Amino acid sequence: MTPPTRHPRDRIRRRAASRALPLVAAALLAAACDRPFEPVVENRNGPFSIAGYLDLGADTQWVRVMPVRQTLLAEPEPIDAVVTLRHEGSGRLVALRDSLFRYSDERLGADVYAHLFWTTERLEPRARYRLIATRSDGAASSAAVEMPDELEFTYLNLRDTAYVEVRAERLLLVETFHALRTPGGIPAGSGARRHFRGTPFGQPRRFPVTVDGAPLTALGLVDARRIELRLVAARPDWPFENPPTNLSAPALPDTTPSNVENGLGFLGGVASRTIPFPRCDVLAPRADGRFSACMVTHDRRAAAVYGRVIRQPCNRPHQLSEVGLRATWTDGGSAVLRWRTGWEGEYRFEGLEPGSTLALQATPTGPFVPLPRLAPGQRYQAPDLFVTTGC
Amino acid sequence: MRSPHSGHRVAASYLLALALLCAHALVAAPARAQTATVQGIVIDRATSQPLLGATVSIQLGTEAIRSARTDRNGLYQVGGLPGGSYRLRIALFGYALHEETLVVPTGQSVTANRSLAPDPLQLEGIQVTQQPPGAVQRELGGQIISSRDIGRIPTPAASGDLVTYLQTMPGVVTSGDRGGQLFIRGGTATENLALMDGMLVYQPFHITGFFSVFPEDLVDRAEFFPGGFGARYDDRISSVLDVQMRDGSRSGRVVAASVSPFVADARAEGPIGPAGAPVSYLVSVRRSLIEETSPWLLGEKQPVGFGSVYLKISSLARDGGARCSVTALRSDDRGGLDPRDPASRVGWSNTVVGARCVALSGRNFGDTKVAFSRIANEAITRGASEFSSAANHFSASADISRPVGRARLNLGAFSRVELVNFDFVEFQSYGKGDGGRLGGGIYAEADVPLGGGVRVLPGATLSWYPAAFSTAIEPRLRASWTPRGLADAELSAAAGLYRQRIAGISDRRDASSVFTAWMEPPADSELEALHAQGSWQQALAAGLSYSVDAYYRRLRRLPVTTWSNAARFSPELSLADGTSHGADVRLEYRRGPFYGFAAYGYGWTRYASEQEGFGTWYGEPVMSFHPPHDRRHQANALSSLRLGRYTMAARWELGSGLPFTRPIGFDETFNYRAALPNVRGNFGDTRVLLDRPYGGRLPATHRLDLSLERPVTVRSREIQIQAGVINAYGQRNIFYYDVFTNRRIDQLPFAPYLSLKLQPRAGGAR
Repeated sequence: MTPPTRHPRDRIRRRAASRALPLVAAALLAAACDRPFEPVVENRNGPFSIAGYLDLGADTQWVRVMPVRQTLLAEPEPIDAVVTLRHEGSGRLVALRDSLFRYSDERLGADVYAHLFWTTERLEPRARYRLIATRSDGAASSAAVEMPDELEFTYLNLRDTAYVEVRAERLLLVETFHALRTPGGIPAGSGARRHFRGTPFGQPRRFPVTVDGAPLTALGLVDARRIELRLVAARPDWPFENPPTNLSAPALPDTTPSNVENGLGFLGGVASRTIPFPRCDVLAPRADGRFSACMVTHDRRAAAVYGRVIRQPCNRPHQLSEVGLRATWTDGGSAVLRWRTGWEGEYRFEGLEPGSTLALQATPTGPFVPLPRLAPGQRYQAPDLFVTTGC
Repeated sequence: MRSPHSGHRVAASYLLALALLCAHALVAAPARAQTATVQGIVIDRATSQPLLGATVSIQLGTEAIRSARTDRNGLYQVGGLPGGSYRLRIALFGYALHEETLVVPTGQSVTANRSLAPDPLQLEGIQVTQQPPGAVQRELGGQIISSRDIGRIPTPAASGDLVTYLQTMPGVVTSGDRGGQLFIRGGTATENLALMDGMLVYQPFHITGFFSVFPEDLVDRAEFFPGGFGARYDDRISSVLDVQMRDGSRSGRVVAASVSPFVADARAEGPIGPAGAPVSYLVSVRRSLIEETSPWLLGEKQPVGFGSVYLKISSLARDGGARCSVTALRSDDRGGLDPRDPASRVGWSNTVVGARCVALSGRNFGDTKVAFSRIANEAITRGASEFSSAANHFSASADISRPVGRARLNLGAFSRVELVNFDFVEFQSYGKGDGGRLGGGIYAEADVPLGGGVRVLPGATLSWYPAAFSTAIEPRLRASWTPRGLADAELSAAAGLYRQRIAGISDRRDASSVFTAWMEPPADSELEALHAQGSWQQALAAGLSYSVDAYYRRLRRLPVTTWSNAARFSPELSLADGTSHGADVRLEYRRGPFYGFAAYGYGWTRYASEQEGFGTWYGEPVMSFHPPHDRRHQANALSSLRLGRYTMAARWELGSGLPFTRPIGFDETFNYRAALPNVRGNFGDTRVLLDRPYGGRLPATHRLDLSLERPVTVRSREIQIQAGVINAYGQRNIFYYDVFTNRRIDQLPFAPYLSLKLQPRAGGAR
């Protein structure tokens, strides 16, 4: 009897199987081997995240500079950074000072911290600056910022609706801030309302804006009728789209473009103005029309008056009282601007034509107190006004 | 260039051919009017449950001239018989062989409903007349899972659970021992169809990964199709788990209870009326205990819990030819997946109520169902975000099955209303939406034996949702070949087109987020998958069998959350296309008191998605990535041994690491678009800086579970005592890595347990 012969294919199969099995076993063992788990990838985006904007209209510039950290919560740790602001034209270098800010994050139920660097350096319109954050090992993140022109605009407000025409390369934002109080008269912060702006008409750098100054309805709070108007402009290359038409649409912070070299974040350059939102009554028309008596122009020549209203004899601030400023323009036109004092009795009027005849009125029925004529660009602090009610 | 409608034309042509086949079969039937048909329903004599997979042979002398296997309803139909006297033989593993003489008049239909008596000798493996179903033996790619199979898997409870059995199957991926999500052959958890007595259960798996709403004691059997399922099933694109719950005992009242450190349950069942009454009830209550026991058992509180209440009332015709049932289920899950993050919580609840009647009338078998299913889920993440979502599903369906010559035709119609809503509140983000669809459809599937051991099942589903989606045809084709001369060998293949019209969205950037938002997919963008798979299985020596499977899937229009670097859930959807393929090998051995099973699975899944953010962050608008459930290698080994009254079981599993997205760090961003940010007054939006999507892999995980069980008889009661341990060698397995907090959360450590189960003594009433 002949022994059974194996087909060559059987030998091939057996050989393949004998080779494959150890390979599979080795793969399983290799897969089962414990390796250290190191999930975080090395940060190759640069050492710092920079956020904020330089503002021609601000007395102090604040810029957030934070290291890219590996923990969710930002701890109150010192930052290894020297932050400077360099004027690219003159080479002037200013060192910014560090302040640690604490925030309460309700979502995480914890306090978080951030480093803000600041300077009171006055910024120059149309100048180019570079903010540089340097770590002790020499690694640095920097952002170049080109400042826009000073903001100029004309403003007309007879009642609660104002018409503003802004001259700017790109108008970013128009909003009003309404002082709020409780029904019992306690300060309750402020509410904001944003206003749509039109596209430039006539000359391409002029943006018309209609501002609705009607009282803000806030839950359980009262609009104190003390309104400020804020306008912000930037250079035409500002990288963000216009505000969404639907203001309640969710924002997309994660699509933020970055202008930070070797780092993250964005540092912008803007020109902002925050002015009172006074109502105006025409007393005498100007040469070019009745309502132009209430039209004021905010530019480099415009003057301003500011001061306080004090209650006597208790010497306390007269809060939320209506202050009047009668202006008689050089061409004979005349109007009264009315605005309310703040919680410290403070008031201010801006956009005043230099050389006009001015007089202040502490209450709507009180006497007018004459003021000196103001020079172009002058900001005049008026003597305190006194009232004898409310003590 | 291929027209976008060419696929629809192909599907329409296929449906037309199928309709012609059905029409031909129906028209040709009168021509065969002189042939007779034998049909019936086969049930378990002790439990009255329909028996699946019994071989029914019509013999002339000793030669089987026709044979059929009972289906999921215990139904068999043998047609094309000349009139005469035959031997009817019914065989099924675990049951005594049934033989009788049957006289079949020419041209008539004979109904023979029969019950089989359980045979304890076969169950003990002493006398084997037929290979039992198991992990290798499948039919047309579908696996039949009995409650006995479920009981083999070590589970930290007094009884097994279907979910732990499924986890031993290659191609079934879990992210760990928590979360309650299964990913099957590249599909996501919400692409699986889970049915309980034909009723949809949205989320059947509990938050603790060892348990589901399908415990061993309530399940009669389950059919598991990891892909390539037939036309009967629709509206899911990945897999089907069709579970038949058992009826309550009709022979007498039974009360049973069990307790373990993980779960406690109580069950009562019995006839409504005297013993043997046709109507019975079964009620079960379960509640997890892990939250209470984990501090001393595991050394750390596991803040997860679940509970369920289940009720089934069923009636059975005396001869077993008709049955009706009303089933209700309520389950609740809650907890946090990270024990150290008390601020994050997730929870969901299932509600299922429905009624079903099946009956054999003449040559027609009918199956009608009415059901309502609901899932409501909610999550609070990191103490700030609040998500909620709900889906409600009303359905009514009617299926009919009848023999046509030697073939069998299955037809059905269904209608459904599904309403979904979601609500997200998150810092600087708010999303809310709802939707719904009303529609229906029909399906047809023919089971055609072609001779030579070849069986072909062409089928198709046509669905119609007039206000939401275009009319769609989903052709399916299944086939098998049983070669002559090889014992228990089968080559099977399946291919089909599958569509899904509801999307379950999870924030897959964060593995801890098992919260699922149920939404409508974008208009006319239903999820779509094309399956192709093949399987070879063969019994080798006595008790030893093996199988080899391979599959390929093309996936289209999968909704994925739009990628965002902000640490928040987003309801914004993007679409992804993908492919998935893989293969697995299974080896099973059963001999006497020993059972062994080993399996290795290989899987590969990749998505490609075009999103605006990808271009911003990575410079490429289209990114390809392996999704977070793409497990490349998987191995399982299971063994059990009965020695006297002791039963020992061991299970070892190994899974290669799952993809995750590697973080780079954190910073804050500000919104410069709607307003100028106040960097002094506001902290900003915390952003996690992420590397390319799913570019990293978690470490591999492996674990050994052991159990030892012994029954103790006390008078008429039996106490099952089981001692075991989960993660016997204390492997530190990662559960997930939280990219938002840069923390690693591990799976269960070494976890011993002792469980007790009090039940009637075996051999008495169940």
